[in-house]
Amino acid sequence: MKTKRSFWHYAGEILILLLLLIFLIPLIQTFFTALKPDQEIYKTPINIIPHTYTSAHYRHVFTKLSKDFLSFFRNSVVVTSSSVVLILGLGSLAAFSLARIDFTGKTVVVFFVSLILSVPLIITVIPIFMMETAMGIKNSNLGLILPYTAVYLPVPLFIMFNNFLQVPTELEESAYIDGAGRYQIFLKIFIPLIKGGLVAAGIISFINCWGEFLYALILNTKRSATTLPIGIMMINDEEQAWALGPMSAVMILSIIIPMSLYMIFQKNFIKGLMEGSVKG
Amino acid sequence: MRSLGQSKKIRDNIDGWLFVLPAFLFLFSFMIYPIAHTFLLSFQKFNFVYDSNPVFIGLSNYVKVLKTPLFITALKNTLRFTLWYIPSVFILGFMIGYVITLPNFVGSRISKIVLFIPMVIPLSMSAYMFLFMVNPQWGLLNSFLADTLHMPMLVRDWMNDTRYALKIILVVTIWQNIGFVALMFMSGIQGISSSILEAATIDGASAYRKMWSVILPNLKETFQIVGILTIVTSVKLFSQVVTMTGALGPNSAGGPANSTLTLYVATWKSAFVNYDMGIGSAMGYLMSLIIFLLFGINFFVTKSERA
Amino acid sequence: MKKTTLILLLVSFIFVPYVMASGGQEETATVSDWTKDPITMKIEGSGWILKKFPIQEAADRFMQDHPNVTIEVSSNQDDTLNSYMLNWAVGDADVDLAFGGAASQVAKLAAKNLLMPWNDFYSGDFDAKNFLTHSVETAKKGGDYFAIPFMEEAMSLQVNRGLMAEAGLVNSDGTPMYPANLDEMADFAGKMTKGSGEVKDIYGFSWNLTNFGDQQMMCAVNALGGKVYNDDGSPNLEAPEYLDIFNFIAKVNLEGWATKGTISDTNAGRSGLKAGTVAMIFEAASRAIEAKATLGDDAMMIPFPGMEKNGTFIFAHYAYVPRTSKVQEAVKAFMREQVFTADFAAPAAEQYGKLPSYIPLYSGLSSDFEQIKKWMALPGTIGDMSWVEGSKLNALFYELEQLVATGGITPEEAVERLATEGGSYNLSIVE
Repeated sequence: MKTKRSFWHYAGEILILLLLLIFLIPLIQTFFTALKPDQEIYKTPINIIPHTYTSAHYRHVFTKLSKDFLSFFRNSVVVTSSSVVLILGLGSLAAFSLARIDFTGKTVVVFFVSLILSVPLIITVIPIFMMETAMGIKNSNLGLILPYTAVYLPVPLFIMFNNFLQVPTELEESAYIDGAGRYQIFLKIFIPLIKGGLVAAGIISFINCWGEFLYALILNTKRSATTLPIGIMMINDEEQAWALGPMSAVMILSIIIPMSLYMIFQKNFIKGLMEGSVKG
Repeated sequence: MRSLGQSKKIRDNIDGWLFVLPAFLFLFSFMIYPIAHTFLLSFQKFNFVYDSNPVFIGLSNYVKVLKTPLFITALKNTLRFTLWYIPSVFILGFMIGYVITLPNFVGSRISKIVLFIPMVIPLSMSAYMFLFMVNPQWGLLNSFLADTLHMPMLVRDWMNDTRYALKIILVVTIWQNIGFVALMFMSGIQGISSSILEAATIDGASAYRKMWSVILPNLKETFQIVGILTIVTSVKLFSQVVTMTGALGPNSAGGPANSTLTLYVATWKSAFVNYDMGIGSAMGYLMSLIIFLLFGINFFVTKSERA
Repeated sequence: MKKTTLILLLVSFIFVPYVMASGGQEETATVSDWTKDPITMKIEGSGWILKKFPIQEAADRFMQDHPNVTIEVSSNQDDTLNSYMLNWAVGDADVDLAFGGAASQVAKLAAKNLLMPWNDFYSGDFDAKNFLTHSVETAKKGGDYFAIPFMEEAMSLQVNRGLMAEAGLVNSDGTPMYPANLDEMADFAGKMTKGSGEVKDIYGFSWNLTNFGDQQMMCAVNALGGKVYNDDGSPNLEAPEYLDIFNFIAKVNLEGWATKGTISDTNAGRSGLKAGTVAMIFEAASRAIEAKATLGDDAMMIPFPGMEKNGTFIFAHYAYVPRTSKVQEAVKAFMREQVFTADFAAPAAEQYGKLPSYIPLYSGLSSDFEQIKKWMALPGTIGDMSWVEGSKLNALFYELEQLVATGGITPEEAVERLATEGGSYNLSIVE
C-alpha cells in the first residue's frame, strides 16, 4: 500500500531535519569556533559560521600547548586501548562461560556482576585510592587501566553474553563430536560469529574509558599520567578560562577519535546496543 | 555412564570457572572488595593525611553526615534535579522514540545517528561545550537571546546565578542522554508484537488512542529499565558539575554558593578535599541508600499487573 | 583440590595489596656534593607564577653557571596545594622547589612536618633582617622557618579613573575620590554601573568571591578599625565589622552594581578592570599596575575606606622545599644566586606589580610603588598568619560571600555561621 506523500509529510520531515540541526548546535559551534579568528569569536552578535577561517588556534595547540596536550592525549590513548583489549578479552571469555557452560556458582557471578552496575563509583574510589597508593601505581597508566577494566566490564559482558546466547547449539555440538576442546570452540567458532557484538562492546568500552572522569581525577595527583578529560580542565585553568579559540580546538581534537569510531561503526554500534539492552 | 556424567560436571565446573576467573578477579579486587572496604571505612574515623590509623567509631560518621548542612544542601539539590530530570527525559525520550517508530517516518536512520552523537562524546567535554555557549559575554545563548530574538531582558549570567546553574546542568545531561533513552523506547515499541497493533488499527483506533491504550501499557518493562538508568544518571552528577563549576580548583566545585552541589560532589569533597575518608565513605553509602530507595519507588510505580 | 587452589588464589589476590603496602622505605641520603655531581632539580610553580616570574630564564642561567645541574620547570596542578598535601603526606614528593602558596595554604604542609627548614639560609647577605620581617616570621613553626617569602602583595582598591570621572567621582585636580566608608563605596558602585537588564555593560564593583578569602576580609576589618586577631594570633571572627562587610557585599551584588563573574572565573574582576567593563575592584594592589597595559594612567590604586589611617593587609607568597628532596643545598644556591636578584624580581614588579620580599631589591624599582610602600609602612598594617586549618577558613569565607552575594542567606546569618563554623576550626598558629 503506497502511502501518499502529502505536503504535511514533507513539512514534517523538514522540521525534523531542523530540529536535528539545532540539536547538534553545541558541536557545530565548537567546531567552527576552533576555526574562527579571535576578533570574530569575541565580537557580538555571535555568528556561528565564520567569515574568515584561521588555523591559528590549532597551531597554538600544537606549539604552545603541545607538551601538555600531547601527553594527555597519549595517556588517554594508552589507557583506553589497553582497557578495551582487556575488557574484550576477559569479557568474552566470561560471557562465553556464562552463556554456554553450566557450572556451580554461576548465579553468584551473575549476581555480583549486576550488582556492580548499580553501584555509584564513588563508593569504590576511596579504597582504590589507598590501595594504589600503597602499591605505588597511582599516577600511572596502569593505575587507571586496572580499575577501568573492572568498572567497564559488565555492560560489554552482557552484550557479548546476549550474542553468545544466539549462536545455535548445533554448531557447538558438532564441534564437540569432532573432538574439539572448549577453548578451541570458543576461539574458532564463537568469536568469529559475534563480530558485531564484539565491535559494539569494543566501542562502548572505548567511549566509556576515553571519557572517564572520576578515577582519572582522583588517581592522578600529578600531571604525568593525567588523561584528556582532566587535562582539558587543567589547560582551561592556565589558558585563562575564556580562551575560547584554543579550547575549542582542544575539544575537537579530543573527540575526534570517539566520533570517528562512531561514524565508521555506527550501524553495528546501534544494533549492538539495541540487542544488548533487550536483556531486561 | 554415571561416571561420565560426573566427570563432565566436574569438567564443566573447572572450565566454567577458569573462563570466568580472570574477569572475576578484576571485578572482585577493583569493585567488590573496595565496596566492602568502604563499608568498613564508613564506621571509622580516618583522615588520610592527619591520621595514621583508622579508629572504629560506630555510627557517628553517619550521624555527623546527616546533620551537616552541606549534606542536606547536596541532598536537596540532587532530589530537585532528579525530580526535573526524570519526567523530562521520559517524556522527551518517549515522544522522540514514538515518532521515529511511526511507520511513515522517513528520517529514522539519520535521526538515530544524530541523536546518538552526544553519547559518544564524553560527558565532561559536552559540559565544556555548553559552558562556552552560556558564557555571558561571548556565548551563543545570550547573543541569540539579545540579538536574534531581540529580547535582551532574558540575558543572564547563567553559571554564576544560583537560580540557573543547576538548570543548565540539567540541559547538558538531557542532551547527553536523550539519544539513549529514545533508543530504549524505540526498541521497546518495536518489541510490541505487530499483531496487537494491527488489531487495533482494524478496530478503527486512531493513532492517539493506539498510543495510550496499546503502546504505553506494554512498555512497562521498558519504563522500568529506563527508570533505573535515569535514576543512576541523575544521582551520578559529577563530571558535569566539576567541569562546569570546578574551574578554580576543587573548592569551587558545587557551583554558585553550593547550588549545584550534588551528593556525589559532596562525597568527593569530603574524601579528597578534606581528606576525611570516614565521612566520605558514610556519605557514599547514604547516597547508595537513596539510590536504592529510588529504585524501589521505580519498581513499584512501573510494576505491571501482567495481564 | 581445584576448588581449594581457587580459593587460595582469590585470597592471595586480596592480600597482595596489603603485602605490598609494607614495601621498602625511601633512602633519604642527600647528594654528597651538589656542585660536582650531576643532579636534577625539579621546580614547580602555579601557572600564574610561571607566567609572571622569569623562572625558566633563572633556571637557564643557573644551569649555565653549574653545568652539572639539570633543572626542570613545570606548573603544578592547583593553587590550594591539595595535590601536594595528598602526595607529600605519603612520602611521594617528586618536587625539589615549589613556588606559590600563601601562609594559610603552606601551613598545612608545615603542620604535617613535610617541609625543609630554611634557618641556615638566613645568614650573611640574606640575613633575616634583610627581608620583610612579618612575612618571614609568619612562616615559622617551632623555631624552624618552613618557607621563604619571595613575593609580596598588599590589598587595596584598584580603580579605573576614567570611569570614575564619568560618574563625577573625581576631585577638582582630577584625582579620584576616596570612599570614606562602606556606604559611600556602595554609592560609588551604583553611580558607575551602566546598562540595563541582568548583565550590565559596565559594573561599578567586583568583590572577588573565589580568591583572597581571608586576606580581603581581614584587610577590610582592619581598615575599618576593627580587631582582626586575638592575642594568640587566631582570627577574631566575632568582630562587628564583618556584619558591615557582608551587608556591603549583599548590597552591591543584589542591586546589580557588582559582577558575580568571579564565581566561575576568579580573574573576572581584574580582566574586567583591564577591559574597562569593571570600574572598581578590591584585590591585590598589583592589579592596578598590570591594568596600566590597557588603561594607561587611568589605572590607579586607592585606599579601601579607612586604610589611610589603619593600614593595609600584606601577604607573601612562599617558596618551600619538601623534606625528602635530595638536592636541598642546590636549591638554596639557586635561591641565592638567581631568585633574590633584580633579574628575577624586577620584571614581575614592573609589569605585574609583584613586590619583592628581599628588601635590597626595592632600590631598583620605579616610583609607582611609592603608594604601596607608604601603606605598607603604616603602623596599623597587618599581615596574614599561618593557621593550621586556614584553608578551611578560606573555603568558608568563599561560601558565605557567595551565599550573601546571591541572596541565599542574610548578612546576619553569614556572620553567625562565620562565628560558629569558623570557630570550630583549628585556627591556632602552626606550632
